[in-house]
Amino acid sequence: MNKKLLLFIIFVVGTLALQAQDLSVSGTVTSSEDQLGIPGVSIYIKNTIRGTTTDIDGTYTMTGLKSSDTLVYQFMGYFQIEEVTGNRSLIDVVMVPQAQSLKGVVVTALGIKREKREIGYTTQTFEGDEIQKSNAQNVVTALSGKSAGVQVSEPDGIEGGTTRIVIRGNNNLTTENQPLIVVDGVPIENQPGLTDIGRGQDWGSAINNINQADIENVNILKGPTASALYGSRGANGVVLITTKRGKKQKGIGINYSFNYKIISPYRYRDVQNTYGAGGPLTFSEPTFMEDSSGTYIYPTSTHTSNGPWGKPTSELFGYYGTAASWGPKMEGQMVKWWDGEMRPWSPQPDNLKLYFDNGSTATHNLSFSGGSEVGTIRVSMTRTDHTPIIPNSNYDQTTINLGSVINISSKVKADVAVSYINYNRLNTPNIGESYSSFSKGNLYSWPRSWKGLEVDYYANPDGTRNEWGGNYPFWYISPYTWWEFYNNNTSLARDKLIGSFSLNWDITPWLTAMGRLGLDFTSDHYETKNNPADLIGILDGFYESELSRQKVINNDFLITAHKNRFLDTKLNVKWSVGGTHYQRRFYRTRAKSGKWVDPWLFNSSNFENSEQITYPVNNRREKWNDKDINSLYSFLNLGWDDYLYLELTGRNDWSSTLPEDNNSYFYPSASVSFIPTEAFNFKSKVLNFWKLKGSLAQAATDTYPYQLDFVYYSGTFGSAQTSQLDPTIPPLELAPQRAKSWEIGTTLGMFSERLSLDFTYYHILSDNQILNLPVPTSSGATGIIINNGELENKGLELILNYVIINRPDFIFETGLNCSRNRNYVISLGESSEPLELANIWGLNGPAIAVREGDEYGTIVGYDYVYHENGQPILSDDGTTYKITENRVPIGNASPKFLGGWSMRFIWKGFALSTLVDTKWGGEIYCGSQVIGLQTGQAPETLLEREGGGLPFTDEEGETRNVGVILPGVYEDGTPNDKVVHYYFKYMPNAGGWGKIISTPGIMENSWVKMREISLTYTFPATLIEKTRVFQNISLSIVGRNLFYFYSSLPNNINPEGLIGSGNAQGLEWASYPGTRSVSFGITASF
Amino acid sequence: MKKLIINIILVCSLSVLISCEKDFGEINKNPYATTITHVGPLFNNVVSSLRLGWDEQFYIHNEVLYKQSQLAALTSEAWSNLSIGTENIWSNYYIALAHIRDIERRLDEMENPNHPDSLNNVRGMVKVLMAYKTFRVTDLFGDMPFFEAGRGYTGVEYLHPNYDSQKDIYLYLLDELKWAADSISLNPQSSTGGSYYSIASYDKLFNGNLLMWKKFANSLRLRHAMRIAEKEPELAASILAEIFENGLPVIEPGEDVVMMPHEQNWLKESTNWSFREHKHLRMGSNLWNQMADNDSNNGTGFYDPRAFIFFETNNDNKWASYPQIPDANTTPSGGVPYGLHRDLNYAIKGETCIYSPFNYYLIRDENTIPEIILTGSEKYFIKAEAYFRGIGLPVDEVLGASEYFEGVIASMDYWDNLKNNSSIWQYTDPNYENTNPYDVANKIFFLEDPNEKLDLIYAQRWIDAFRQPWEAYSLTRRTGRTPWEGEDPLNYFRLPYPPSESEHNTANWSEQSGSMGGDLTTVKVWWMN
Repeated sequence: MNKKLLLFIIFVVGTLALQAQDLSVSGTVTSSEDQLGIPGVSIYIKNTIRGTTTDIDGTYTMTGLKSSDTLVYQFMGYFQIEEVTGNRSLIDVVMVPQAQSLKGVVVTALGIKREKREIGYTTQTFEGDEIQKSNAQNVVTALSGKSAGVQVSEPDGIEGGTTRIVIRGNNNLTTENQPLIVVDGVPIENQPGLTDIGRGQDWGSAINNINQADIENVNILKGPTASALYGSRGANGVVLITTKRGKKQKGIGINYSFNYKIISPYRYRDVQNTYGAGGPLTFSEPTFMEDSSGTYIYPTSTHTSNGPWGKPTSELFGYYGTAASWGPKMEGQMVKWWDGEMRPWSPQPDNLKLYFDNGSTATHNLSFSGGSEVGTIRVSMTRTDHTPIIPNSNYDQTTINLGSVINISSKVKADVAVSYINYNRLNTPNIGESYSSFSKGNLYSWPRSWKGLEVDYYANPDGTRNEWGGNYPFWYISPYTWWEFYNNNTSLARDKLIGSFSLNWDITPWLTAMGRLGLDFTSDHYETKNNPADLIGILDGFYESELSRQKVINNDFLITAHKNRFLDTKLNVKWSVGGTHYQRRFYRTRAKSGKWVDPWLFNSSNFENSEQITYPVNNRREKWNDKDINSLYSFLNLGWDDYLYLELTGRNDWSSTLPEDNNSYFYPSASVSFIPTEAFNFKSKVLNFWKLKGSLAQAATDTYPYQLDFVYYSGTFGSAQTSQLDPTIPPLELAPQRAKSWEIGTTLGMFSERLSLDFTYYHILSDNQILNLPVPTSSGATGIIINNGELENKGLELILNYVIINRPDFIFETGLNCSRNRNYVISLGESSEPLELANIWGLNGPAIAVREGDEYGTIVGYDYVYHENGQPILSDDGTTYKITENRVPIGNASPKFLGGWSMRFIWKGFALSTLVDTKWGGEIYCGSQVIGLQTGQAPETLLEREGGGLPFTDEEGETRNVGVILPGVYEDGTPNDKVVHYYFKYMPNAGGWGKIISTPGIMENSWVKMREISLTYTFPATLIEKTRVFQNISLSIVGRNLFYFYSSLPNNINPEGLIGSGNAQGLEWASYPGTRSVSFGITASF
Repeated sequence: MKKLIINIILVCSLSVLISCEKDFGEINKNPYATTITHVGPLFNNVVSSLRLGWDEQFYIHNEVLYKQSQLAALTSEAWSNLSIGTENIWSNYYIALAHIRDIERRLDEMENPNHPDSLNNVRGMVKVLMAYKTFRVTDLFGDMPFFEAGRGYTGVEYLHPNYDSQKDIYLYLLDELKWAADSISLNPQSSTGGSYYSIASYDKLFNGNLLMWKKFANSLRLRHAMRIAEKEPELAASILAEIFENGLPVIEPGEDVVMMPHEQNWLKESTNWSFREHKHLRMGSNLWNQMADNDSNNGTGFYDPRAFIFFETNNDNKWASYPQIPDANTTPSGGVPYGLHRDLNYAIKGETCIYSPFNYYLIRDENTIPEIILTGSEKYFIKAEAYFRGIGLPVDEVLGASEYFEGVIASMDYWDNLKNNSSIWQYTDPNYENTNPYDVANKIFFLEDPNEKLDLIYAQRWIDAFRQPWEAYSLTRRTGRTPWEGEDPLNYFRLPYPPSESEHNTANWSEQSGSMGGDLTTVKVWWMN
């Protein structure tokens, strides 16, 4: 070895050593959600303070590393990642967001971003990706089961319908209890499409139009404390939606996703398939009538005035529909049908499914995102086509969204977010009690032997309507239901623009100003065309056109001064002053045809000249809904040394809907957040974060417009004018409704925050309720607008998250949220009579009422009269129960608690998550069950018919085992021992006419549901890079509403099939079958 | 640039700050209705409320009153839902009462101290309307909210009105009617020289004919004074005496008070609906026996021509009545005699229509068959009763019988005219021509026993009220002597209060109900014996 060689070796070794000393690593940190770079990720060498952060593209470079160094990647809201350098020079990292993080930034009222630790009240954030992946019918239903204290229900069962969302219970006795929806700082109008219980068509609410692909995140501000700054409109809580803005990213910045969802109705009501149509006409064994040639005749008659014992069937058994299936056994006998054809009398196990089909939703989204020093921009276009489970009611939606931040100068930034939505919908089914409701048909009009001939024969060969003739036996819904289904079409064409434009100006380092213009503009055109039913083209032809325009302007400004280390102390001070001008202008005009003179002419001037179309008060041709609210507010944030925070707010509103001397109202709030772990520095491995929070707030609510004037409605009689008082007495004086609330809670982070727990207890007292209080007609009116009544909500919310496994290649976390809310009606004011919220059949049958001292959601109805020994009293012949004179409380719909349990597994490119949710406790009036019993459709009605009863001798002296002894006692308390026909057991369970017992319909409605399972696979970056085209590809499959682990309702009745999205939740009647959906999605970035 | 930003932020701030309450009044002004009206249109509204309610006819007349008064037979109690019917009567009345209170408030404000009587005519007209409507309701329900009622618009203290005794209501209304009859002036100038305030163009009941208002007031005094003859004999006698002795103007034949659709420009769709949908009323054996002297099914047994106006043959074109008290052997009634198909196929009433239904024309005509309020024959029957019983008039059987005679002839004329004036009436049973109104009118002269004569007076007044079943029911309840079948006496004396009272006027209703021993149909109203 010569010297040269030695020198060379020394050089090489030295160089190697030097290289080892100066290892350089670069790479990109991307998010597993959108595969885009994350700017600002902090990267440091473990156990040192050396580190760097990623730039705007998410890239980084670090030098001077040793191969043994471990790099730690940290970013708020994401799982921490550690990578050993080894000899790598390129380390790309994909960070996975944490489901719930204790730290990080949240968007609060008015879009102000704040550290989670500072906040003394409860908010909850959901990432847009998670919502989009759920592929629920809208952004609100996607949150179902995910947020504590938030109750979401989809009342009408058909996509495109109204969703009800209530945060922390009802704070209003009779008016809207749903939260305010704010999109990019613009509150949007979200009136329910249908609140009426039991009947009508549901065209859905505006939340359905918010495109899920454009959502960055959703924040829920719970209770009046969080929403004190949204004023009257935020008193029920706020759902804050922020849409996506642009990002600088690799590749050409184009992202495409496609999602296909299949919706299947699967949970049909269980029915018997043994016995067909027939009424309780005699106690003898059901048989067919025969004609003179001995041919069986279809039993068209289900009711008679000369039934058993010569009494009318209505007198013996109350009122029931033509769905009565107490007829002969279906054994394939040939029967002369009501239309004269011979057909077999055979089981029809699938007739409940006749008008349902699988539905589908196909969604394409194409977006472009980019950024530079000038700013960022994202443009996105989404197209959704939906085919529902009921034919002839499709919808489609096209959304174009723009989100951009422009750096006008170093101190001035403009933020623009605009969504244009075009939504077209054809028809929405008639639901519940409507005269053309299919589900009512199944329950109440069509018996088990129904063959659905209407499907094929609703029209005659020449295209005219089949008028069926006098023998048509099913008349409890319109006999023309199928005709109308295809010939009476109403379409909705909606154009909607939601836009916000804001300027943020950093005037000085301590003073900023923001001004924002917001607009929510909607134009709806409903057009109804009912085809004429006759050959000439006149009969029942109808046209109606309804055009509405709604413009909501929401302008605000906010000036903020802030100073950290105020006067050289540990005090951070921030003080803001702002104001909002809200203006809603709604106008609708409507025109309709009358009795046609021009054949096939869809035109509102098509009516006979003689016809004077008069529009009653509730069917006005024009409608307005105008309202202004002006507000000024101020808030002061104080922070002491990163562990003690105080926020004080005050807001004054001026509302146009209240009387002049009461239209200005002020309300304050205060909240405190204290972090003992920081203050006393006692962080340990077990407990590393502890926050205590508490807040106190007031909120106030105004009312609907046009309620103050003392007005007269005009009409004519005898060709002279009449004047009629408004049946509702205008308020003699009216003040805003108030809510006072407080909440306390704590947040714990343990085991390096792998376990986090958030607990909140709240109390809300809402008084001075603005009510349309019913008054006895003897006062001359039917109601009065008045401040009255007091409601109390108290409850607790618990959120628990645990990261069970956190390894670079495998993450397993689970979360639990549950809440319990008690909602009491403290007082209904001077008039303490119950206030009815809704009913199915007017004064008959059950209703939901608000009663002083009860929990909100009392179900009232006609109950058994009980003997003092606790048994229901029966008539002496053992056939009939005695029932109460008036409606009395028989149940309550408030659930005991709501909960959700989620799990998430991430392994390599796979992510699997599951969500189970539950509603436990609370009762409903289950109309489908009791009508199923009454009409002999329910499977349990087979028992005695199949010979499982007691021996009973009918009028003809024949004895069969069809008898029952109804449980109960006679007036004197002795137990009933009389055997009666099974009709007396099943028939009088329900009825919409007269005082018929309601109690049997009251059932507990608890359920546990597999709400969501989703599996996503993201192709490895190394593979993607090789394509040179794609930046990312991922595939997903998501199942929603898959099945129930448990439901307390009998016979597979849809536990979530409540009717109406109004405050009365607890009546079920002719609900749709439960549906489940499976979505397939692909996302690719270029 | 900075300027632009400052401007934008300024615009936002200013749009908030510029007067926080500006234009609120205009924005919130009710766009659907006016704040301006006057007495005339309010009065016209009250007149329009005299039309019978749809549900009242369906659930109360057809389901209860015809049956209880035995004016017809109810073949099946298909609905038995009193709530809807009572609610209808209640709201019709109290909403009208609120309008009457509003008119009275306006009249008080209009009063001119120099001409205090210039409002008397309008005040009188309003009092007559109030009395007619109130009597109808209290006769059905008994005690009811009245003095505090209908005043909810004036203050929260009136939202839950107290119940008043029927006696107090009766005495008050009889006074009011006297005031109206005395004060309505036919002179154009008031006694103080001012002209009378007139709302003639809004008076769609009598078209501004003030004499008719006076007559209506007196006729109502007769009707209701007689109704309390058992309970307030002296008062009743004094009222009858005052009117009969002084020959005060009352409603005469040909002046009948009615609501007439084609004259008042409305369509009477409610009546046919109430029969078409209910379809269970038929001619009963009780009325048959008052109009026929044998059971012949070809109509030859009828001696009372009104039988052919009130009823018609069954599907087989035969006459048959449904037994007033059916038994197990009674063949059930059916058919669709009131269906609209009869406009085209008159003869088809449905195979099971085996009992005589109400005459289709009587209940189908929407234009020219009126709703009856008070007929010209009523005064004769009241006067006849007064003569027989010596109430306000000396007992005089001869004069009484002659009043009866006039009453029957007036009634026969009335129903004959009603038929003749109907725009749709095309067919009447040929037997109609063979009847003679005088057979019924003369009947009284063949009777010996004054009690039988009085019964006949009651029977004929009862028949005349065929389309005022509430009046027939009052007569049955008051006298207990209208034609009756069956051994059991009437024990259905009043209607229960509608559910809205127990639900929304709970305290007052409970007190009232308690004082009656329950809100029961077996509780007699005050004027009953």
